[in-house]
Amino acid sequence: MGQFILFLVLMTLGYLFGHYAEKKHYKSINKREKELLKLPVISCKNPIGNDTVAHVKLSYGSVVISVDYFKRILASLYNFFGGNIRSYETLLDRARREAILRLKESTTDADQIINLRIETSSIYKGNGNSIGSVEVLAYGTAIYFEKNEPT
Amino acid sequence: MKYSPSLPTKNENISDDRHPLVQLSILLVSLGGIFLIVFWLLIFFVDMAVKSISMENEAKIYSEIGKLWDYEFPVDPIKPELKILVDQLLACTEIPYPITTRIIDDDDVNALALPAGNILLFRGLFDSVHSENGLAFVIAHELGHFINQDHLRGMGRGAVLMALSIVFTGADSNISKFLTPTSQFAQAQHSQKAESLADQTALKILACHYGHVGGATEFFDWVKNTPKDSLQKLEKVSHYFSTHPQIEKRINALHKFSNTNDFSIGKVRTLADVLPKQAP
Repeated sequence: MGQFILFLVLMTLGYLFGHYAEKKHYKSINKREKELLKLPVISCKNPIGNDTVAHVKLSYGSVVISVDYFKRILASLYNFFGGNIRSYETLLDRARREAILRLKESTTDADQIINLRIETSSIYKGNGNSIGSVEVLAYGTAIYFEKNEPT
Repeated sequence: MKYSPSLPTKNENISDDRHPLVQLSILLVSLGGIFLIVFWLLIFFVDMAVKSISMENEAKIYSEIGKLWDYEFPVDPIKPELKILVDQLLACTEIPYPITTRIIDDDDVNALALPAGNILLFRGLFDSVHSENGLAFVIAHELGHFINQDHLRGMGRGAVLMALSIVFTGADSNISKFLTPTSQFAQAQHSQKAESLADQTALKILACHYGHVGGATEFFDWVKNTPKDSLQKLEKVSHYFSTHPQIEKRINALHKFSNTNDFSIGKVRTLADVLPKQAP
């Protein structure tokens, strides 16, 4: 029974801290996405427009986010019943958007970032091969047109 | 090609689902429910299987385990008075194998039936019963566990629980902890039923041996009348509270069973000194 109470405490703490962290993270993501909206990030291989490219640079952003205890348990229950694991969806959504934001923030002076690619990997296997933390890496090519060469 | 900066109005990547706590509750209740249904179904088959195993075969199954008790609880020579009492009670049953009685030098107010015909009587128990009939009921209760083959049932239940936990949640999954209260609930229910049944068997043995069931509730009356503080000091009487039905209920059930079977209440015998001398 003691083990079960410990488990309930961990679940409650996981939910409270995880919920707070997620809310705070989404607030930060929404704010920064608005601020960096004017910098185009696209997955095309060629830049938009006909301007002459003066300079290119590798741009990347990566983030590692851990799954909280509550999410992990909820997901393992879904392993039995099947269905969308919303708790992991928000986790990966945050990780993807954060990685793109970090990519943008690393080259804010670029005109465009093209050839965007996103990769994800679990960097820690938790108990019983459950996912512990995920890494999302976003990388692309930062383009500087002739009129706007980096200093 | 022109770039039009805009932010999405809705996040399509996240399922528009119920609140996580609601999801958790639904999943938990469903999993617990399915677990219980499958558990009870399998337990039904376990009980059927146990019924088909004779007490002789049960003794063979546990013959090796019995040797462990010799190592764990060395047998002190018990006084002939106690051995005679156990053998007389045994004669009222159909148990085909011999019963070994061991006195445990401990203040616990407790008695246990271990597989392979072993009964452990804790020294503390002798402070709570003052008549031979009172002690005989406790011993007969433990004999009741052998008659009802509770050890085999318990082993079957354990195997079913372990198998279900692995099938439902994986061998080392965190969600197996979810099933802890569910399985404890199912186990406690079984234990209470087994204890009630052993009580009834004990009454029958008492009626067979003494011709009446006087003194049967002596131990429970002692527990009932002992202040809770004193009971807590004895610490390990918990065995009688955790899995055994509530004392009051149990006493009432004993009276009811006696009345149904027309068992009479006769004079109790004085308890002879059955305890071996304590080591200095």
